[in-house]
Amino acid sequence: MSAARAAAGDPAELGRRLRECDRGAAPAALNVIEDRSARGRERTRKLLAEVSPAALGGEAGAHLVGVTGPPGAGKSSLLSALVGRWRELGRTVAVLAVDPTSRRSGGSLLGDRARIEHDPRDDGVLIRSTAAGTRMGGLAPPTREAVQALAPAFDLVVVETVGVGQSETDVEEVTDTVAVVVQPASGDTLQFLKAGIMEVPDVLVVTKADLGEPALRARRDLESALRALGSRDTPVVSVSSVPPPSGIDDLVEALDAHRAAIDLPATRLRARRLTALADFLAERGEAGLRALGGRREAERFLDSLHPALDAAALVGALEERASEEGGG
Amino acid sequence: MNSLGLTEQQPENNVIRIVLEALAVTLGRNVRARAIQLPAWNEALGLPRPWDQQWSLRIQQILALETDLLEYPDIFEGSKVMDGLAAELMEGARAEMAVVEEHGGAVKAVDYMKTQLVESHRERVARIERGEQKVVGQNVYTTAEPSPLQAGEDGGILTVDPEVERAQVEAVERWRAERDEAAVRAALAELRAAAENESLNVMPATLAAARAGATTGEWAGVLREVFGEYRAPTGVEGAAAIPDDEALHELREKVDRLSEALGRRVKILVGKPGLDGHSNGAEQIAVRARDAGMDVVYEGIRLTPSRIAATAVQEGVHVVGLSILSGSHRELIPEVLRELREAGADVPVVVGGIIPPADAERLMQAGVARVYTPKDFELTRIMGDIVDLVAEHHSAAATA
Repeated sequence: MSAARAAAGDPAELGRRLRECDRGAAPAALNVIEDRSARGRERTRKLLAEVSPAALGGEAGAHLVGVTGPPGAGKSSLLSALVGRWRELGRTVAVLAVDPTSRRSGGSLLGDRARIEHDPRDDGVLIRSTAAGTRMGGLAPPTREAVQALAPAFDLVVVETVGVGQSETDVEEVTDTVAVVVQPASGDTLQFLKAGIMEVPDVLVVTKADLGEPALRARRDLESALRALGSRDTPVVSVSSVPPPSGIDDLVEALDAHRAAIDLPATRLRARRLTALADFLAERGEAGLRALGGRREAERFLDSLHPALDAAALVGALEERASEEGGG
Repeated sequence: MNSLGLTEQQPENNVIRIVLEALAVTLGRNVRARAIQLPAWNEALGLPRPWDQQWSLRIQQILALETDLLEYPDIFEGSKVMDGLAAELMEGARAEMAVVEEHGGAVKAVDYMKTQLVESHRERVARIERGEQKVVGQNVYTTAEPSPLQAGEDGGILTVDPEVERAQVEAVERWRAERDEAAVRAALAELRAAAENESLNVMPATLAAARAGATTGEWAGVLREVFGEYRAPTGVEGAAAIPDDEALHELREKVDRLSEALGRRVKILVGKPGLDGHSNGAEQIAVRARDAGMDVVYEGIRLTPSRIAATAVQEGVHVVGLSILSGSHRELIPEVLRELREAGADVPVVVGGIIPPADAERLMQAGVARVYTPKDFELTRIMGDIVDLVAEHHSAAATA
């Protein structure tokens, strides 16, 4: 028992198991990644090295999907139906649910998991909840690293966040496909889109199709706004999560189609580099960034590094560089 | 009538509370309850025995037959005090109904209503904790002589023979073996067809299934597959934080220090196994844990042991708190422990609920780290205790 546990806690071993699609290693791997102590970060480094493109011999096969939208839009119900459909198709799914609860007291109630229906005995579904912490709607470094760690072991890795506007940027940085979820009669999204506050998502989802006319109108409005912005190809999918769910197959198809069309290595490479930068920034702050000569300079430096390096190795390189610059 | 106000300490006092509750709903003829069912004096201790239920029944019968309560018109008619109180109540109720209306009706307002319930109970618990609301035997006049009501071998509560469950299981198995299986399958298929077709009534198919010998579980299973399963809102996410006091402040620092040592925030799973819907305790624990600075996973009522174990593992929690008031802790808690072990989760488990002392001891032997009962009403203190437990477990694991 204790030998098994020691092995379960060995970060390199966890990374190797994930690489070999052993999903049972995922929870323990997430425990390591969430550990922000110096020891934890060292362990994370060892773990991520085992799932780097170099170790994998290429990019991980998972489809990394961001699901985001304003509170109450029906993201959890949608995910519930989506996870069910994916499982029917035989695909394994990991959901990283980022809860928007502000840490008034430092603590938070993580409630999303309860809303995603799944069979607890099905090891093809993993749901992990985390608190967004102080960065409203943003993604904490552990969530970004978790996406990369889980990518070799699951067919889909979903990052669920709350927000309109800024938060998509974070999700977009770490995933292949971002679906923004809105409910009918939510004019905000339309306005944000038109005003350019919000980036055009890869897929737009209008929930509550069972409402009928309002849902149809919302869809038409979004489609015309997208046309006006010159984004003719962005799919707008109507779904209803009320049993019997509808539109879920269309959504699955739209997500798959987007994934098939992107330049995967470039997307993933960018995700790793931006994850490294976010992690570095979380640890070292703006002062650290200045030591690198500013954000642009840091990005340029990252671009010069080998594309097969994992995020943790990139953080290491940034830190080394910062101390060189600081010393010199 | 509810048993929320009953205490574990000096439980004989509950009889007086129950009588007062009964009077409150029977004194005024115009507002008299049509039917009442009184709780038993020992419901904060465990399940009531037939004798305990008889005692509660007799309260009603004495009220009805030995007093002249039923002989007069409304005795409060014309009372300014009563009219004032009633008006206040009406005003509050109308204001509340207006809010529900604003949400678009009761169904749409379920989330809001549940949150308000959690919120008002949170306030009540906090007032008792601070001593602002006095509860005799619990936060005032706490010294007591041992109660002879609890002196018996059974501790003054009903203990259910584990044989009962086995007999029930056997009865269902026998039932299934003896029925016409093909007819049951056909009836359930009919039921499914009716449920899937919006223009069909499920009642005839339900009756046919029952007559063919389908069990309640099979019937519900079919409907669940068609309609999905409703998970009620937990109401905890919207609960306001309690005002800071020194104890909470200290606790929060303790949680922060431990979180630093762990490398990530202390994470607790509050789980509610079994079929009872008494979620007050679990909800208050969840909200207080959040106020103490923990990350809290709470999925609501009626969870299976396997779901609790899977959640504990997937979420990587540091401690599991189980709340149970159904009386089936002797079966369900060990099952959760076993599922956790099988899932490879090495986390301490604490249990809260109506657990008689003999059972508490048995649960501790089975591996439960702490047992809390209604007499442990100081939530901040319980939280501190749980934090210590996690710290101990963590340092033990680190040195092992």
